[in-house]
Amino acid sequence: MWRRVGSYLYHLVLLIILVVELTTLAALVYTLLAYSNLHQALAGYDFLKLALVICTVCILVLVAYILIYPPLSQRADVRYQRRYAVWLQRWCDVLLDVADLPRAPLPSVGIAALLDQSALLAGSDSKWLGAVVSRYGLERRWLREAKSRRVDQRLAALAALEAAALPHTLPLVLEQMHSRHLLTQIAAARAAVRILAVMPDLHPKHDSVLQVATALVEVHLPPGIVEEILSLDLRASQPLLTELLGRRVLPVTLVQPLIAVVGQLRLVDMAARIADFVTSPRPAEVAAALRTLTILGYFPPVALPVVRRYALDTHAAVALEAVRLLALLPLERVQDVLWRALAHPVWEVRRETIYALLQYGTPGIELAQQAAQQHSDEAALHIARQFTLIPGQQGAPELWLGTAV
Amino acid sequence: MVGYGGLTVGDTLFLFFQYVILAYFVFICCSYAILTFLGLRSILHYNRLMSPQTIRPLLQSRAYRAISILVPAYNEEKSIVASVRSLLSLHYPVFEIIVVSDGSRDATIDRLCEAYSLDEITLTAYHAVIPAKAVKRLFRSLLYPNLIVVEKENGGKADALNVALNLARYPLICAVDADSTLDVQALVRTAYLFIEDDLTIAVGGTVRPLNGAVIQDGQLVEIRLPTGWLERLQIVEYSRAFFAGRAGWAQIGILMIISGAFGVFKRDAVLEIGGYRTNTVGEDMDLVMRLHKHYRRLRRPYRIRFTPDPLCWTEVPGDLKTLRRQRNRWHRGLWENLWEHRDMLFNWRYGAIGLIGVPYAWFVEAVSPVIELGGYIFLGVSVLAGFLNLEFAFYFLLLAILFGLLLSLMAVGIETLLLNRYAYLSERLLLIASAALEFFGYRQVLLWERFRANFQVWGKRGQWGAMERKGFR
Repeated sequence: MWRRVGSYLYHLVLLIILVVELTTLAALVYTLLAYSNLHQALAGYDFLKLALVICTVCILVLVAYILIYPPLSQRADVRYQRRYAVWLQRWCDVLLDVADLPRAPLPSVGIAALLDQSALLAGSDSKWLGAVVSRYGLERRWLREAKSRRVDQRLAALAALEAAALPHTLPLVLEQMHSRHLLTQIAAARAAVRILAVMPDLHPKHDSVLQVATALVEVHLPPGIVEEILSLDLRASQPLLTELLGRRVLPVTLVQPLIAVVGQLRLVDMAARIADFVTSPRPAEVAAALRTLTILGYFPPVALPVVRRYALDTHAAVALEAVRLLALLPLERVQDVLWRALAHPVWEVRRETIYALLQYGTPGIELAQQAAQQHSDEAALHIARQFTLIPGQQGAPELWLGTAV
Repeated sequence: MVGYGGLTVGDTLFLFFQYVILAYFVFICCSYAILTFLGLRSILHYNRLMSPQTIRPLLQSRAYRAISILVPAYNEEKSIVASVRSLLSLHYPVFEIIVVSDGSRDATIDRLCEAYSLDEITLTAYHAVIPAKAVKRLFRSLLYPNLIVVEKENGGKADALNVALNLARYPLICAVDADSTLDVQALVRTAYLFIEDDLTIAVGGTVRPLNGAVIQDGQLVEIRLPTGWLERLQIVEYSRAFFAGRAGWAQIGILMIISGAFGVFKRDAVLEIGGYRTNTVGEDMDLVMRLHKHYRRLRRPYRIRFTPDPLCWTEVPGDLKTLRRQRNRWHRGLWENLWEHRDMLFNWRYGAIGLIGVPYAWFVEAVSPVIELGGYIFLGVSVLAGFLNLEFAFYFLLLAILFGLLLSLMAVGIETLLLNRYAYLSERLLLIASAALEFFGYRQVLLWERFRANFQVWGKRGQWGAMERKGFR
């Protein structure tokens, strides 16, 4: 949205103009007030004219800036893009051993092109970037800038450290995770996970894993951020999740995202551990656990009575996820509870129940159609009608949505 | 008759008026310059905070609190479908849209039914926590489960917002005008401020004129300058008001208005103060004033913040009649609010709001039409009576205009330079020309309308007046 470069210059121009204008104004007022009657204050005219000239000059500077700066900056952008493309090609050549490493010092565009390679590199090649960065000693500058008072500089340095993923930078990155500034915490946490991912022989009790896990416990990041960070790299996430979910005491805000990440990364091995949270006293954790189990396609054998009860729970999120999980089982085992869930007071649960029924194909559709005609609850009747008839065509049996499906 | 210092009474009065005008001129210039400076600081800070490096992880994040978007609509058949489509395409993890047709007499509901396959649901889902006019019908979209449409009896915008508030389920609410379109990142950028600081109870965003822009699939694809001069003049005016005015006020924690076109609030905070007040045309300002009042009275820490990001695009009046009606309403709304909250004036209990913000609104914004018009009359009379040196008066007037132009150009610069807008030279030239032309006729017409509004506050209390819409292109 905001222009990446040039904002400082414009702010400087405006600051100078404002200072000049306010000084002129103050001087003008001082001059005019020196006279008892303004219309006799002819000596003040000269100053008034001077103020006009200064104001006009400021306006002309601003107009020139508005007219000339955009095409100039556009050209600069194009030049930058061209140089960037050349550097990108150069780094590709280096990576493929077609060319030698460029001589130090690297220009900023060269560094940017180098860092952007990180998105393209995978497997053993991913360590190449770190090696090149170390060779030029770039990380020393980033480590220094990561402590900068300027937010943008700090974040840029942490993003660079994330891309380079050098193991020896982990302690400083973890230090930044304790920053008071949320964006810095997020950037540092991302960098920590990326760095962790390149470390050899990772296991849940690895020192670095323990350090990152402890930092995640100590720093109270918003649950969504934890979720996002732990989904960044499977190599780092798996030992981290194992270590964290193995702990007896965890902050309440951390449990839900950990459960969610297990589902997102499809870590089927951890399904049994997640099943333990189905009986948690906290509805949000229960809902997250049910959701993850649905994604993993795992129905805990002993949990059927509990999940059936949850389908009618007053917490909408719990009921919704329970209905989704129940849909993993054969219809005959769950049709009675789904029939009752159709009458759930929350619209979303009723809607999810209909979707669950439609997933079963013909038997489920028939049950939904039956509910649309015979259900004793008015809300259930209504929702079943909404979903089994094409909108606007109610009453025309040949247009059953089920038939179309 | 002999007045002060051996001068006649006439001369003394004349001298007095001269000093009043000079003092007013200096005060206005200084306060605008200081606000512009503060606004720039705020923009610079925000620019750093929301740099491309920082926004990337934020956009990918799922950390945000769910938002209920409240859309009051009255006779919006031309733009409602496009508006809702724009809202549905927002980049945000969890949100719902509640459109409230406030007794529309056109085909607003029919258009929505056709476009989004609305199906009527039972009214049992509606619980009137805040009293409001009766709800007639409630709809849910079969295509978009997060879209709810309400048809209710006409009760005004604030009443429609209260109905939407009653239906809202999420911790944050976002009030949006039906004729507005939001930037796809609007919610992410605003909601971040709620995550960053838990004390934040409200966030206002920058509103920009939509006229001339091209919308495709509910998203803004091209920003062009509108063809009408009136709309161009409003672009300059909006730039100045938001980038210099509100950004500056927010920087010192005295933001007294969050535009009704786009604002995000904590639902609990709004419910605590009883929702929107329905007997005013300035419900947006009233809500923010009451939030300040409520939290200050209870001595609870809070923050009302502003994001200079242009997040909301709204259709501005394209004809003078509608524009005059709108500005009349805005000025009446200002008076209604200032009168309603008159106990805040110079009241130390309300901190900077009571000591700086409210007095500024009273003596600069509300009374300014009277003083400005008085100035014009005084100037004319003085020149005709030969009291004033014509050359001096001309130079002084010119300086006032040039200073105003300078401030407008600063805001235009933020728009064109920092935000990378209006890439064509011709558009930038037109914008600069608009900033200059503003002083010749446009300001005077609006000044007259605001002056008239001063005397219509009680007679037209709560009256909105119809708005002519062209709809989106």
